[in-house]
Amino acid sequence: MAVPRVNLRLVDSNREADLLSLSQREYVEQLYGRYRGDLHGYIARLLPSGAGDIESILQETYVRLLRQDSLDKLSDNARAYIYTTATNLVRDSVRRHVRQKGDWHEPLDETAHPVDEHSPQHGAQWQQSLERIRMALAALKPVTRDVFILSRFHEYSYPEIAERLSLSTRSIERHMSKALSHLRKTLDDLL
Amino acid sequence: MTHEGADKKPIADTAADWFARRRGARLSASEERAFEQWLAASQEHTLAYAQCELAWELSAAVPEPALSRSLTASASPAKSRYRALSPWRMGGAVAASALLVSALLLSRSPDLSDHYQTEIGEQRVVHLEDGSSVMLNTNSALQVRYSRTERHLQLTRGEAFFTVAKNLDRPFVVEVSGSEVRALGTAFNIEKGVTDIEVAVTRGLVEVAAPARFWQPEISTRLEPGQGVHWRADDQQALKPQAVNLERVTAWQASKLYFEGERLADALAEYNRYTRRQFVLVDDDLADERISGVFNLGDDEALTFALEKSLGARVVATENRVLILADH
Repeated sequence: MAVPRVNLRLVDSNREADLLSLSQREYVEQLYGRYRGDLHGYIARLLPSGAGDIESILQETYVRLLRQDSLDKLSDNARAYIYTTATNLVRDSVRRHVRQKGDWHEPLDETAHPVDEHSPQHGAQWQQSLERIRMALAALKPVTRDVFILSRFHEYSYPEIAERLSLSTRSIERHMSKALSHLRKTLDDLL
Repeated sequence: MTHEGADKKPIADTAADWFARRRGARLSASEERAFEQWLAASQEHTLAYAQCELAWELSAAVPEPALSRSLTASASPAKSRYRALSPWRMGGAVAASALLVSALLLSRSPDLSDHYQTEIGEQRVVHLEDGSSVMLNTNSALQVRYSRTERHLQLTRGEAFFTVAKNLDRPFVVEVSGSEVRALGTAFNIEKGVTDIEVAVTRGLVEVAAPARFWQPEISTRLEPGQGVHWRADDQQALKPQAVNLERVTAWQASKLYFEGERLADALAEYNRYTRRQFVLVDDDLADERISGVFNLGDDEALTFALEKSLGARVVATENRVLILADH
């Protein structure tokens, strides 16, 4: 095995050595290797097709793990740390993707022109995940869903939603928390 | 979190609590510190919170039509063309939540987004709640979604002429094939072809913008009355304003088509947008002939007459087609 080249990094810390030692790097490599397969599936399910490719997110995840300040977190809870890193990268891609598309979608109208040069070819996996999220939203209690929709899609503030629905601002917060918690559980299923 | 029982709560729920709180209002410095501490306390906390953020982003990617279709089994958005009242205006939380619960939910379905469409040969005027109006040309479809901060419309098919009530606080934005046409108190026409889009302005000022992409920043241009811009949906690099003939661009609103030296093939394609009985050019020889004149939509006989007299074509009409042959 070739000796890996490691850049010297000056970091503001009390560490004696600022460069990742060979053994540290092997340690990261080993951890990454352990989760790489699962991580690939995780990203594939959550990344909108057309929003960037899975390999580049994996690569970027790996690069971040190699940073000196990642080591403590890795040894603390490698799995959670690796998944957090990947999740944040996917989140950024999704945000860009949604913004780029606008949060609008062509109506699925049979009489519409079949040609829409801008609708991306969504992968089947991504479609399934979208369906899961849709189901998760559908399963919310109606009032929770109202709150979520008004906040998410119509940019109402909590006090405004509270006024509309004759609820307290605090309970708007609770409904939002419930909605989020429920949606997040959907992600667990997708893990 | 500070309320009781926090430590017994599953991490996931606490993460969602924090997310909801932080979205609702700016936290005080001490609350923010408490949040940071909670986050740093465990990698599991950080992961749960990251997943809340991801879930939030993902929720915006769920297609709206999919939501409304499955959740409101009997809903037929296209039929709600003329809604006089928005649920919000009916006043009272009871009305609001009853409507919300029964109809929408899950989506910005008919109550919050309206669909308007026309059949081939049909035109219609839609009056919007802010005083703006839209005239839809043949075989066109439009979605309208007004929020407090923006009047957002999407031309999903065909052509429309927009007359916009001025309101600087609530921009009027028409989305077409991924680009945006932003009105600044004005009147303008948009035609969405299969691959091309054309915008022409008759009054006021309009901004046309291709939103920023991964690979390029936003590209935009401003149009004044009498100017137009034409681009391919897959190539928004060039947004160059050009002078347009407004009489021609808006002729359809008077049920007329206005040709001035168009290629016959193009003119017939235009005419065919308005009729189920299609004019078919059988001889390619004629495709590059030029045609001028004003034609009434749906007046097949006048067009036939012009083709016979001015181009010397032979025209054979059947029930579904009008065949145009070169008279060799």
